[in-house]
Amino acid sequence: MKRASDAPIPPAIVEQASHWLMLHWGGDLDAEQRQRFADWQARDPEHQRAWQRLERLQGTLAGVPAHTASAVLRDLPDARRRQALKMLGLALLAGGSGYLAQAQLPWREAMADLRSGTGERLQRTLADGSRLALNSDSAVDVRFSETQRRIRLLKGELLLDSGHDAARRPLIVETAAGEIQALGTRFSVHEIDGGSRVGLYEGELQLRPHNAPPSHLQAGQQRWFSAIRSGVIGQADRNAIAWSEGRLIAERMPLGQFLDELGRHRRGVLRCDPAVAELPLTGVFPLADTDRVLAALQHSLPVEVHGVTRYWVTVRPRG
Amino acid sequence: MSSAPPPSPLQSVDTLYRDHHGWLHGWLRKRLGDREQAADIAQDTFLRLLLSGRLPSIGEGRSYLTQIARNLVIDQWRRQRIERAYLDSIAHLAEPESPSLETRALVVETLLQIDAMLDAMPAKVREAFLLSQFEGLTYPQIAERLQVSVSSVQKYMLRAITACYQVLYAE
Repeated sequence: MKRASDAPIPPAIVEQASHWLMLHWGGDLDAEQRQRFADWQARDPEHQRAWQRLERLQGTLAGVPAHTASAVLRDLPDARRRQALKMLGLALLAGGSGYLAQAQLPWREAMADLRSGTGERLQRTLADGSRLALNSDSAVDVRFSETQRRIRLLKGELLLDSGHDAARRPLIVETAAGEIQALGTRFSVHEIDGGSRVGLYEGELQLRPHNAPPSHLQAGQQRWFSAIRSGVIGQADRNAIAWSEGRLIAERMPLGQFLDELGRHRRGVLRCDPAVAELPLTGVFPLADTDRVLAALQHSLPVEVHGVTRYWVTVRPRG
Repeated sequence: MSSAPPPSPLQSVDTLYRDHHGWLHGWLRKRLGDREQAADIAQDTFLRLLLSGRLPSIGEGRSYLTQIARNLVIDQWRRQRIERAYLDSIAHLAEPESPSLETRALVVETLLQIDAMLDAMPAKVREAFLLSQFEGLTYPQIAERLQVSVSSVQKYMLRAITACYQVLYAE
Protein backbone atom coordinates (compact mmCIF):
# COMPACT_ATOMS: atom_id res chain seq x y z
CA MET A 1 0.00 0.00 0.00
CA LYS A 2 2.60 2.53 -1.06
CA ARG A 3 1.54 6.05 -1.76
CA ALA A 4 3.34 8.00 -4.46
CA SER A 5 5.12 10.02 -1.78
CA ASP A 6 6.46 6.77 -0.36
CA ALA A 7 8.03 5.69 -3.62
CA PRO A 8 11.79 5.36 -3.54
CA ILE A 9 13.79 8.38 -4.60
CA PRO A 10 16.81 7.78 -6.82
CA PRO A 11 19.96 7.64 -4.68
CA ALA A 12 21.70 10.32 -6.74
CA ILE A 13 18.97 12.80 -5.87
CA VAL A 14 19.01 11.84 -2.21
CA GLU A 15 22.72 12.45 -2.27
CA GLN A 16 22.30 15.93 -3.73
CA ALA A 17 19.62 16.80 -1.19
CA SER A 18 21.82 15.51 1.62
CA HIS A 19 24.67 17.67 0.39
CA TRP A 20 22.42 20.73 0.56
CA LEU A 21 21.29 19.85 4.05
CA MET A 22 24.89 19.43 5.12
CA LEU A 23 25.64 22.92 3.81
CA HIS A 24 22.57 24.35 5.56
CA TRP A 25 23.63 22.82 8.85
CA GLY A 26 27.09 24.27 8.43
CA GLY A 27 25.82 27.83 8.62
CA ASP A 28 24.27 30.51 6.49
CA LEU A 29 24.52 30.03 2.75
CA ASP A 30 25.79 32.99 0.78
CA ALA A 31 23.63 34.64 -1.85
CA GLU A 32 25.05 32.59 -4.69
CA GLN A 33 24.57 29.30 -2.84
CA ARG A 34 21.02 30.24 -1.94
CA GLN A 35 20.28 30.88 -5.59
CA ARG A 36 21.78 27.59 -6.65
CA PHE A 37 19.78 25.81 -3.98
CA ALA A 38 16.55 27.43 -5.16
CA ASP A 39 17.38 26.47 -8.75
CA TRP A 40 18.07 22.91 -7.72
CA GLN A 41 14.75 22.65 -5.90
CA ALA A 42 12.81 24.09 -8.80
CA ARG A 43 14.45 21.86 -11.40
CA ASP A 44 12.66 18.61 -10.54
CA PRO A 45 9.69 17.61 -8.33
CA GLU A 46 11.81 14.68 -7.18
CA HIS A 47 14.32 17.18 -5.81
CA GLN A 48 11.55 18.75 -3.81
CA ARG A 49 10.34 15.43 -2.57
CA ALA A 50 13.83 14.50 -1.42
CA TRP A 51 14.20 17.84 0.30
CA GLN A 52 10.85 17.41 2.06
CA ARG A 53 12.02 14.11 3.44
CA LEU A 54 15.10 15.74 4.86
CA GLU A 55 12.97 18.48 6.33
CA ARG A 56 11.02 15.78 8.08
CA LEU A 57 14.31 14.51 9.44
CA GLN A 58 15.01 17.98 10.78
CA GLY A 59 11.58 17.95 12.37
CA THR A 60 12.41 14.69 14.10
CA LEU A 61 15.68 16.07 15.40
CA ALA A 62 13.91 19.18 16.62
CA GLY A 63 11.30 17.01 18.35
CA VAL A 64 13.43 16.53 21.42
CA PRO A 65 14.96 19.28 23.57
CA ALA A 66 18.62 19.48 22.55
CA HIS A 67 20.08 19.17 26.01
CA THR A 68 17.86 16.19 26.74
CA ALA A 69 18.85 14.40 23.56
CA SER A 70 22.48 15.09 24.13
CA ALA A 71 22.36 13.94 27.73
CA VAL A 72 20.26 10.85 27.07
CA LEU A 73 22.00 9.66 23.95
CA ARG A 74 25.42 10.23 25.45
CA ASP A 75 24.44 8.62 28.72
CA LEU A 76 24.10 5.34 26.96
CA PRO A 77 27.48 3.68 27.04
CA ASP A 78 29.05 3.58 23.64
CA ALA A 79 29.73 -0.13 23.66
CA ARG A 80 26.05 -0.86 24.14
CA ARG A 81 25.50 -1.30 20.44
CA ARG A 82 27.82 -4.22 20.22
CA GLN A 83 26.65 -5.41 23.59
CA ALA A 84 23.03 -5.50 22.61
CA LEU A 85 23.87 -8.04 19.98
CA LYS A 86 26.17 -10.02 22.18
CA MET A 87 23.82 -10.17 25.09
CA LEU A 88 21.42 -12.38 23.27
CA GLY A 89 23.91 -15.08 22.68
CA LEU A 90 26.02 -14.68 25.76
CA ALA A 91 25.86 -14.72 29.49
CA LEU A 92 24.74 -11.13 29.93
CA LEU A 93 21.15 -12.14 30.15
CA ALA A 94 21.78 -14.60 32.93
CA GLY A 95 20.32 -12.16 35.44
CA GLY A 96 17.46 -11.22 33.19
CA SER A 97 16.25 -7.66 33.24
CA GLY A 98 17.66 -7.26 36.73
CA TYR A 99 21.04 -6.70 35.18
CA LEU A 100 19.77 -3.64 33.39
CA ALA A 101 18.25 -2.15 36.49
CA GLN A 102 21.30 -2.66 38.63
CA ALA A 103 23.76 -1.46 36.08
CA GLN A 104 22.37 2.04 36.35
CA LEU A 105 23.40 3.17 39.79
CA PRO A 106 27.01 2.38 40.54
CA TRP A 107 28.53 3.65 37.32
CA ARG A 108 27.49 7.19 38.13
CA GLU A 109 30.07 7.54 40.85
CA ALA A 110 32.47 5.03 39.42
CA MET A 111 32.55 6.93 36.14
CA ALA A 112 32.65 10.40 37.68
CA ASP A 113 34.92 12.81 35.86
CA LEU A 114 36.69 13.77 39.04
CA ARG A 115 36.70 12.07 42.40
CA SER A 116 38.68 12.21 45.60
CA GLY A 117 39.29 9.39 48.02
CA THR A 118 38.89 9.61 51.77
CA GLY A 119 41.59 11.89 53.15
CA GLU A 120 42.34 13.23 49.68
CA ARG A 121 41.65 16.76 48.47
CA LEU A 122 41.88 17.90 44.85
CA GLN A 123 42.21 21.21 43.03
CA ARG A 124 41.55 21.63 39.32
CA THR A 125 41.37 24.53 36.93
CA LEU A 126 38.51 23.93 34.50
CA ALA A 127 38.41 24.80 30.83
CA ASP A 128 36.80 28.20 31.49
CA GLY A 129 39.36 29.16 34.12
CA SER A 130 37.07 28.31 37.05
CA ARG A 131 38.89 26.77 39.97
CA LEU A 132 37.29 23.70 41.45
CA ALA A 133 38.34 22.16 44.75
CA LEU A 134 37.02 18.82 45.98
CA ASN A 135 36.97 17.93 49.62
CA SER A 136 37.63 14.43 50.92
CA ASP A 137 35.51 11.59 49.51
CA SER A 138 33.74 13.61 46.82
CA ALA A 139 32.81 13.10 43.18
CA VAL A 140 31.71 15.42 40.37
CA ASP A 141 30.87 15.25 36.70
CA VAL A 142 31.89 18.26 34.65
CA ARG A 143 29.84 18.94 31.53
CA PHE A 144 30.63 22.03 29.53
CA SER A 145 28.68 22.56 26.34
CA GLU A 146 28.34 25.49 24.00
CA THR A 147 25.44 26.83 25.98
CA GLN A 148 26.21 26.08 29.59
CA ARG A 149 28.78 24.99 32.12
CA ARG A 150 27.37 22.28 34.33
CA ILE A 151 28.94 20.54 37.28
CA ARG A 152 27.13 17.68 38.91
CA LEU A 153 28.06 17.05 42.53
CA LEU A 154 27.54 13.33 43.01
CA LYS A 155 28.71 13.27 46.59
CA GLY A 156 30.85 15.12 49.11
CA GLU A 157 31.74 18.79 48.93
CA LEU A 158 33.13 21.22 46.41
CA LEU A 159 34.36 24.79 46.42
CA LEU A 160 34.12 26.74 43.22
CA ASP A 161 35.72 30.01 42.17
CA SER A 162 33.89 30.76 38.98
CA GLY A 163 36.04 32.02 36.15
CA HIS A 164 35.11 34.69 33.69
CA ASP A 165 33.63 32.90 30.71
CA ALA A 166 34.14 34.65 27.38
CA ALA A 167 31.01 33.01 25.98
CA ARG A 168 28.99 34.04 29.06
CA ARG A 169 27.60 30.57 29.50
CA PRO A 170 25.72 30.09 32.77
CA LEU A 171 27.57 28.11 35.41
CA ILE A 172 25.34 25.60 37.16
CA VAL A 173 26.08 23.19 39.96
CA GLU A 174 23.60 20.36 40.10
CA THR A 175 22.96 18.26 43.19
CA ALA A 176 20.38 15.65 44.05
CA ALA A 177 18.28 18.43 45.61
CA GLY A 178 18.34 20.93 42.78
CA GLU A 179 20.47 23.45 40.95
CA ILE A 180 22.66 26.33 41.98
CA GLN A 181 23.37 28.95 39.39
CA ALA A 182 26.44 31.06 40.00
CA LEU A 183 26.71 34.70 39.07
CA GLY A 184 30.44 35.42 39.29
CA THR A 185 31.14 33.76 42.57
CA ARG A 186 33.12 31.78 45.09
CA PHE A 187 30.91 29.28 46.83
CA SER A 188 30.87 25.86 48.38
CA VAL A 189 28.34 23.06 48.13
CA HIS A 190 28.25 20.22 50.61
CA GLU A 191 25.99 17.20 50.32
CA ILE A 192 24.86 16.80 53.92
CA ASP A 193 21.80 15.89 56.00
CA GLY A 194 19.92 14.66 52.94
CA GLY A 195 20.28 17.94 51.09
CA SER A 196 22.80 20.49 49.90
CA ARG A 197 24.42 23.16 52.06
CA VAL A 198 25.56 26.14 50.08
CA GLY A 199 27.89 28.79 51.46
CA LEU A 200 28.46 31.92 49.40
CA TYR A 201 31.67 33.90 49.89
CA GLU A 202 31.63 36.28 46.94
CA GLY A 203 29.13 37.34 44.28
CA GLU A 204 25.57 36.12 44.05
CA LEU A 205 23.79 32.95 43.26
CA GLN A 206 20.41 31.44 42.73
CA LEU A 207 19.20 28.21 44.33
CA ARG A 208 16.65 26.17 42.51
CA PRO A 209 15.37 23.21 44.52
CA HIS A 210 13.51 20.72 42.33
CA ASN A 211 10.17 21.18 44.01
CA ALA A 212 10.41 24.39 46.01
CA PRO A 213 10.56 28.06 45.08
CA PRO A 214 13.97 29.38 44.01
CA SER A 215 15.87 31.69 46.31
CA HIS A 216 18.62 34.22 45.93
CA LEU A 217 21.80 34.26 47.99
CA GLN A 218 23.96 37.27 48.78
CA ALA A 219 27.62 37.06 49.70
CA GLY A 220 28.11 35.91 53.27
CA GLN A 221 24.92 33.87 53.41
CA GLN A 222 24.58 30.16 53.89
CA ARG A 223 21.59 28.07 53.01
CA TRP A 224 20.59 24.44 53.16
CA PHE A 225 18.11 23.02 50.74
CA SER A 226 16.53 19.74 49.76
CA ALA A 227 14.30 19.01 46.80
CA ILE A 228 11.26 20.31 48.67
CA ARG A 229 12.42 23.05 51.01
CA SER A 230 15.19 25.50 51.70
CA GLY A 231 16.18 27.77 54.55
CA VAL A 232 18.88 30.15 55.75
CA ILE A 233 21.30 28.60 58.22
CA GLY A 234 23.46 31.39 59.52
CA GLN A 235 26.44 33.04 57.93
CA ALA A 236 28.83 31.51 55.45
CA ASP A 237 31.91 30.84 57.51
CA ARG A 238 35.24 31.13 55.70
CA ASN A 239 36.73 28.74 58.18
CA ALA A 240 34.40 26.12 56.73
CA ILE A 241 36.31 26.14 53.44
CA ALA A 242 39.79 26.05 54.94
CA TRP A 243 39.88 22.41 53.79
CA SER A 244 40.64 23.72 50.33
CA GLU A 245 43.98 24.84 51.77
CA GLY A 246 44.44 21.58 53.63
CA ARG A 247 43.49 22.96 57.03
CA LEU A 248 40.72 22.64 59.53
CA ILE A 249 40.10 25.87 61.42
CA ALA A 250 38.13 25.89 64.65
CA GLU A 251 37.00 28.97 66.54
CA ARG A 252 35.31 27.91 69.72
CA MET A 253 33.98 24.93 67.80
CA PRO A 254 32.27 22.21 69.89
CA LEU A 255 34.54 19.16 69.97
CA GLY A 256 31.78 16.90 68.63
CA GLN A 257 31.41 19.02 65.52
CA PHE A 258 35.17 19.24 65.15
CA LEU A 259 35.49 15.47 65.21
CA ASP A 260 32.69 15.13 62.65
CA GLU A 261 34.68 17.35 60.32
CA LEU A 262 37.96 15.62 61.03
CA GLY A 263 36.30 12.25 60.53
CA ARG A 264 35.55 13.11 56.92
CA HIS A 265 39.26 13.09 56.26
CA ARG A 266 40.12 9.69 57.64
CA ARG A 267 38.94 6.16 57.11
CA GLY A 268 37.08 4.27 59.78
CA VAL A 269 35.00 5.42 62.72
CA LEU A 270 35.78 8.47 64.81
CA ARG A 271 33.47 8.77 67.81
CA CYS A 272 33.03 11.45 70.41
CA ASP A 273 31.88 10.68 73.94
CA PRO A 274 28.82 12.91 74.60
CA ALA A 275 30.39 14.00 77.90
CA VAL A 276 33.03 16.01 76.01
CA ALA A 277 31.13 16.85 72.83
CA GLU A 278 30.44 20.43 73.92
CA LEU A 279 33.99 21.35 74.89
CA PRO A 280 35.00 24.39 72.82
CA LEU A 281 38.11 24.08 70.69
CA THR A 282 40.16 26.77 68.95
CA GLY A 283 43.05 26.20 66.58
CA VAL A 284 44.34 25.59 63.08
CA PHE A 285 44.93 21.93 62.27
CA PRO A 286 46.60 20.31 59.26
CA LEU A 287 44.38 17.77 57.51
CA ALA A 288 47.33 15.90 56.06
CA ASP A 289 47.92 14.00 59.29
CA THR A 290 44.73 13.42 61.25
CA ASP A 291 46.46 11.08 63.70
CA ARG A 292 48.65 13.95 64.80
CA VAL A 293 45.66 16.23 65.20
CA LEU A 294 44.01 13.68 67.45
CA ALA A 295 47.16 13.33 69.51
CA ALA A 296 47.37 17.12 69.85
CA LEU A 297 43.83 17.27 71.24
CA GLN A 298 45.03 15.55 74.37
CA HIS A 299 47.33 18.49 75.10
CA SER A 300 44.74 21.22 74.75
CA LEU A 301 41.62 19.55 76.18
CA PRO A 302 40.89 17.26 79.14
CA VAL A 303 40.33 14.32 76.83
CA GLU A 304 42.03 11.11 75.87
CA VAL A 305 42.06 9.47 72.49
CA HIS A 306 41.29 5.81 72.74
CA GLY A 307 41.93 3.70 69.69
CA VAL A 308 40.99 0.05 69.54
CA THR A 309 42.48 0.13 66.08
CA ARG A 310 43.44 3.03 63.87
CA TYR A 311 40.02 2.64 62.27
CA TRP A 312 38.02 2.74 65.45
CA VAL A 313 38.83 5.75 67.59
CA THR A 314 36.89 7.27 70.48
CA VAL A 315 37.60 10.63 72.12
CA ARG A 316 36.48 10.52 75.75
CA PRO A 317 37.03 12.30 79.08
CA ARG A 318 40.52 11.87 80.48
CA GLY A 319 41.00 9.71 83.53
CA MET B 1 -11.13 -11.02 9.52
CA SER B 2 -12.97 -11.25 6.24
CA SER B 3 -15.05 -14.33 5.58
CA ALA B 4 -12.69 -15.73 2.95
CA PRO B 5 -9.10 -15.18 3.99
CA PRO B 6 -6.41 -16.30 1.59
CA PRO B 7 -5.88 -19.76 3.01
CA SER B 8 -2.27 -20.63 2.43
CA PRO B 9 -0.25 -17.98 4.38
CA LEU B 10 -2.56 -18.05 7.37
CA GLN B 11 -2.43 -21.77 7.47
CA SER B 12 1.32 -21.59 7.35
CA VAL B 13 1.43 -19.14 10.23
CA ASP B 14 -0.86 -21.46 12.08
CA THR B 15 1.45 -24.39 11.40
CA LEU B 16 4.48 -22.35 12.30
CA TYR B 17 2.86 -21.33 15.53
CA ARG B 18 2.04 -24.88 16.47
CA ASP B 19 5.46 -26.17 15.53
CA HIS B 20 7.55 -23.40 16.94
CA HIS B 21 5.81 -21.46 19.67
CA GLY B 22 6.82 -23.92 22.38
CA TRP B 23 10.55 -23.92 21.82
CA LEU B 24 10.63 -20.20 20.99
CA HIS B 25 9.08 -19.44 24.35
CA GLY B 26 11.63 -21.72 26.01
CA TRP B 27 14.49 -20.15 24.07
CA LEU B 28 13.44 -16.67 25.13
CA ARG B 29 12.80 -17.66 28.71
CA LYS B 30 16.28 -19.10 29.01
CA ARG B 31 17.78 -15.87 27.73
CA LEU B 32 15.54 -13.35 29.41
CA GLY B 33 15.13 -15.18 32.68
CA ASP B 34 11.56 -13.95 32.83
CA ARG B 35 8.64 -16.15 31.97
CA GLU B 36 6.08 -13.46 31.23
CA GLN B 37 8.37 -11.30 29.21
CA ALA B 38 9.36 -14.34 27.19
CA ALA B 39 5.70 -15.13 26.55
CA ASP B 40 5.06 -11.54 25.41
CA ILE B 41 7.94 -11.51 23.03
CA ALA B 42 7.11 -14.93 21.62
CA GLN B 43 3.62 -13.63 20.96
CA ASP B 44 4.95 -10.45 19.37
CA THR B 45 7.26 -12.49 17.20
CA PHE B 46 4.37 -14.27 15.57
CA LEU B 47 2.43 -11.05 15.30
CA ARG B 48 5.36 -9.44 13.54
CA LEU B 49 5.58 -12.41 11.22
CA LEU B 50 1.90 -12.20 10.43
CA LEU B 51 2.11 -8.47 9.70
CA SER B 52 5.18 -8.81 7.53
CA GLY B 53 3.28 -11.05 5.14
CA ARG B 54 6.53 -12.92 4.48
CA LEU B 55 6.82 -16.51 5.52
CA PRO B 56 9.94 -18.60 5.82
CA SER B 57 10.28 -21.58 3.57
CA ILE B 58 10.11 -25.04 5.04
CA GLY B 59 13.08 -25.78 7.26
CA GLU B 60 13.96 -22.12 7.83
CA GLY B 61 11.28 -21.43 10.40
CA ARG B 62 13.54 -21.72 13.38
CA SER B 63 16.27 -19.31 12.31
CA TYR B 64 13.74 -16.90 10.87
CA LEU B 65 11.75 -16.74 14.09
CA THR B 66 14.81 -16.39 16.29
CA GLN B 67 15.95 -13.50 14.12
CA ILE B 68 12.66 -11.67 14.65
CA ALA B 69 12.62 -12.46 18.36
CA ARG B 70 16.19 -11.29 18.71
CA ASN B 71 15.36 -7.95 17.11
CA LEU B 72 12.35 -7.54 19.36
CA VAL B 73 14.47 -8.14 22.45
CA ILE B 74 17.03 -5.61 21.29
CA ASP B 75 14.27 -3.08 20.64
CA GLN B 76 12.86 -3.63 24.05
CA TRP B 77 16.24 -3.41 25.70
CA ARG B 78 17.00 -0.15 23.89
CA ARG B 79 13.64 1.24 24.80
CA GLN B 80 14.22 0.51 28.46
CA ARG B 81 17.61 2.18 28.43
CA ILE B 82 16.33 5.20 26.58
CA GLU B 83 13.29 5.56 28.80
CA ARG B 84 15.37 5.30 31.92
CA ALA B 85 17.99 7.75 30.69
CA TYR B 86 15.28 10.17 29.63
CA LEU B 87 13.39 10.01 32.92
CA ASP B 88 16.72 10.51 34.64
CA SER B 89 17.36 13.62 32.61
CA ILE B 90 14.04 15.21 33.53
CA ALA B 91 14.03 14.03 37.14
CA HIS B 92 15.32 17.39 38.32
CA LEU B 93 12.44 19.34 36.80
CA ALA B 94 9.88 20.80 39.18
CA GLU B 95 6.32 19.52 38.84
CA PRO B 96 4.95 22.33 36.64
CA GLU B 97 7.89 22.16 34.21
CA SER B 98 7.82 18.42 34.01
CA PRO B 99 6.61 17.16 30.62
CA SER B 100 3.19 15.51 30.42
CA LEU B 101 2.96 11.76 30.00
CA GLU B 102 1.97 12.25 26.40
CA THR B 103 4.95 14.46 25.68
CA ARG B 104 7.20 11.97 27.38
CA ALA B 105 5.94 9.15 25.21
CA LEU B 106 6.53 11.23 22.09
CA VAL B 107 10.01 12.23 23.15
CA VAL B 108 10.93 8.64 23.93
CA GLU B 109 9.69 7.55 20.50
CA THR B 110 11.74 10.26 18.86
CA LEU B 111 14.80 9.45 20.93
CA LEU B 112 14.50 5.82 19.87
CA GLN B 113 14.39 6.89 16.28
CA ILE B 114 17.43 9.13 16.68
CA ASP B 115 19.22 6.40 18.56
CA ALA B 116 18.60 4.05 15.66
CA MET B 117 20.15 6.67 13.39
CA LEU B 118 23.19 7.02 15.64
CA ASP B 119 23.46 3.28 15.58
CA ALA B 120 23.99 3.42 11.85
CA MET B 121 26.93 5.81 12.15
CA PRO B 122 30.62 5.17 12.79
CA ALA B 123 31.95 6.70 16.01
CA LYS B 124 33.45 9.92 14.64
CA VAL B 125 30.46 10.58 12.42
CA ARG B 126 28.18 10.09 15.40
CA GLU B 127 30.22 12.46 17.52
CA ALA B 128 30.22 15.15 14.85
CA PHE B 129 26.49 14.71 14.42
CA LEU B 130 25.74 15.01 18.14
CA LEU B 131 27.94 18.07 18.51
CA SER B 132 26.33 19.75 15.53
CA GLN B 133 22.71 18.90 16.17
CA PHE B 134 22.41 18.82 19.94
CA GLU B 135 25.23 20.94 21.25
CA GLY B 136 25.09 23.68 18.69
CA LEU B 137 28.72 23.58 17.62
CA THR B 138 29.73 24.98 14.23
CA TYR B 139 31.71 22.86 11.77
CA PRO B 140 34.99 24.67 12.56
CA GLN B 141 34.37 24.12 16.28
CA ILE B 142 33.68 20.43 15.68
CA ALA B 143 36.82 20.20 13.56
CA GLU B 144 38.84 21.59 16.42
CA ARG B 145 37.21 19.32 18.96
CA LEU B 146 37.78 16.19 16.86
CA GLN B 147 41.20 17.29 15.62
CA VAL B 148 40.25 16.95 11.98
CA SER B 149 39.81 19.36 9.07
CA VAL B 150 36.59 21.21 8.38
CA SER B 151 36.20 19.32 5.12
CA SER B 152 36.38 16.06 7.08
CA VAL B 153 33.60 17.34 9.31
CA GLN B 154 31.56 18.06 6.20
CA LYS B 155 32.15 14.50 5.04
CA TYR B 156 31.12 13.15 8.44
CA MET B 157 27.95 15.21 8.40
CA LEU B 158 27.09 14.00 4.94
CA ARG B 159 27.51 10.42 6.11
CA ALA B 160 25.39 11.18 9.16
CA ILE B 161 22.59 12.55 7.02
CA THR B 162 22.78 9.51 4.76
CA ALA B 163 22.53 7.23 7.79
CA CYS B 164 19.50 9.15 9.09
CA TYR B 165 17.85 8.99 5.71
CA GLN B 166 18.32 5.27 5.49
CA VAL B 167 16.84 4.69 8.91
CA LEU B 168 13.80 6.84 8.15
CA TYR B 169 13.24 5.79 4.57
CA ALA B 170 14.75 2.34 4.21
CA GLU B 171 13.53 1.09 0.92
